Amino acid sequence: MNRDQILAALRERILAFATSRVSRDHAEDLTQDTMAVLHEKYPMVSELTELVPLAFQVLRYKMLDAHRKALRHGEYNQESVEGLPLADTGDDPVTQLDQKQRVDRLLSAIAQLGERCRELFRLKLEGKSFPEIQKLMSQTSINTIYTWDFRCRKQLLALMGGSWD
Amino acid sequence: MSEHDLNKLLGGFAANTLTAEEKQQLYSAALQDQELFNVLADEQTLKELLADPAVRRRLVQALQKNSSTAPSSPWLDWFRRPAGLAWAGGLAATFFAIILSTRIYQDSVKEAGRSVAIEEETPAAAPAPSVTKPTAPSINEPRLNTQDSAPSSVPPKKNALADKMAKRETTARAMPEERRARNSATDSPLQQLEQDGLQKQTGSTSDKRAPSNEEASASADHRPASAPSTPAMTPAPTKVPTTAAPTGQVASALSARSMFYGERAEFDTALMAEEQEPSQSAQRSGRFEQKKGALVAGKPAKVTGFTKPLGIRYSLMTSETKGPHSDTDGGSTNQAGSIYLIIDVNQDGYLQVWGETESLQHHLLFPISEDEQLSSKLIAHQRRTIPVAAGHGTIILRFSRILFDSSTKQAIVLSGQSSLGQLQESVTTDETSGSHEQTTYVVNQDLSVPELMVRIPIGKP
Repeated sequence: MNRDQILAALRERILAFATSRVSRDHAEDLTQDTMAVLHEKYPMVSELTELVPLAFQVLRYKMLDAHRKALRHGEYNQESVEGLPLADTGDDPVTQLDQKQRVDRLLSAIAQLGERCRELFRLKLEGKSFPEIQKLMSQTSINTIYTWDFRCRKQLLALMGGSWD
Repeated sequence: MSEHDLNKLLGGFAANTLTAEEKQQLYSAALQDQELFNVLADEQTLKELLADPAVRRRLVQALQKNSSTAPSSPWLDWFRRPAGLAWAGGLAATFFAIILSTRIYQDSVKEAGRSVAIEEETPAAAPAPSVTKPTAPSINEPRLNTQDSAPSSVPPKKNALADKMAKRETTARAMPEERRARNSATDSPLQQLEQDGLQKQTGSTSDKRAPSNEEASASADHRPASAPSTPAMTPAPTKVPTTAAPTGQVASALSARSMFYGERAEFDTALMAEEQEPSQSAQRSGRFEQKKGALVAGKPAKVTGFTKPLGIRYSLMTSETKGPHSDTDGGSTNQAGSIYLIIDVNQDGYLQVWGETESLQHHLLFPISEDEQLSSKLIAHQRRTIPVAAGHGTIILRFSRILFDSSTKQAIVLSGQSSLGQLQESVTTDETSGSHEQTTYVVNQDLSVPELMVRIPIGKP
């Protein structure tokens, strides 16, 4: 697949994903903004393995921006713009607290996992690939590692309340 | 890799540990599958979180701390695996099954041993001729061998049956006095004496196991096949060797006694056992009495018919040993020095008793001559006591299925010979006074002969 084909497919998927989270108009705006970033800022990225995760990252940022914009515009609490603080270029305390709470929830959830899942996550966090994990855990089939990881991730997601956010 | 399997690569996406090939597969699939794309988009949050080195380091430390705080031994790890648990469960189940089966086996062996012990406590009920006839009918030998063999070889069913019978016997043992009192009203004095003597012997043998192994085995050999396997309390009365019949006695494996009581009919076995063992079960006794009642009511042919050989059981008693409560036939009263002939037959028939004296050759003693009857009907297993006046040298008994007429009377009596083919056997029981009471069984083996004749020299019955 060349870059245009990948971007076309990405647009379709991004729009569908955004529509499932926000309204259709907002979803189209989000999709358009994401595609614009990919076109304008990353024209040199053409590989599938790079372009897709990049699209996910841009999309997420755009959704966070849209969320903040809605907050600023008072779409949720109808506060005046003058009452809101000025935007900071760095991470705002809310974002920092959000991340800190997310990490704490993740630590708590991981602590509740079984020994094998913890071992698996540890190896993954250490940057080991699945084939390496397969050797380290002395398994003959890599599918076993895939299955274990799938189950452990489901368990971790359940322990975190069903969402990574 | 199928789309389902591609979902398993999501973990590597968040941790950013996928290989280039895995990434290619996952992202290509995500562009084709909206659900997978949505999941990847959701995972992006975790991916960003894990992309922070500080967070990553913190998570790794937490995981390592958990691992160090809860060190798992290889044994525990092994047990945590499903296969290990299955193995452990299987081993535990096998272990409990072995223990359970061992206990059941031990219980069954104990039960078998207990039943054998009960059987040994009650000396084997043996028909009297068993001692005199060591060669048992071959049909009974395997049964004896089975009994003599190790108790563990007894099948559980048989053990249960033997145990049940032993229990029944125990309950019956509790009321021998009652039964004796009941029997005393119906039995003859000889039977009472026999039973008393036997009971004493039972008491003595139960302590010292008086009957030797040979006797016990021989008794068991002669136990009729249809007889219940319950061991009787019979002490195997002292035997005298089978007295040779006055006429030619056919050597046979069967004894006169066993033939007298028959081999097939159940009630005959019961009768024999009834006579031998005073501690027989009340249930069997009741059954016997019922059947005996049926016999009295005139239904013996259904059970025995003419397939059974004619048989007489007789014993002679003096007036001193007979006792005052005897019932006598023949219309005479007790006289000093007179002899009492106690007769029992194994089937309904007609009886004549003839006497011989020096002065008077043949004269009818029973029924008495004045009755103008040439014979008196006897009912099977109903004992009759006939007084015989002193002075007779010989008594001749005639027992027939058919009525006697005058011609046969003269012909046979005058011939002065007993019937041919008769089997005779004498059984002596010890009495408390030291004297011996001798009972003689005479059976005609020839089924075609409707008559049985016995010549009894007085003084040597």
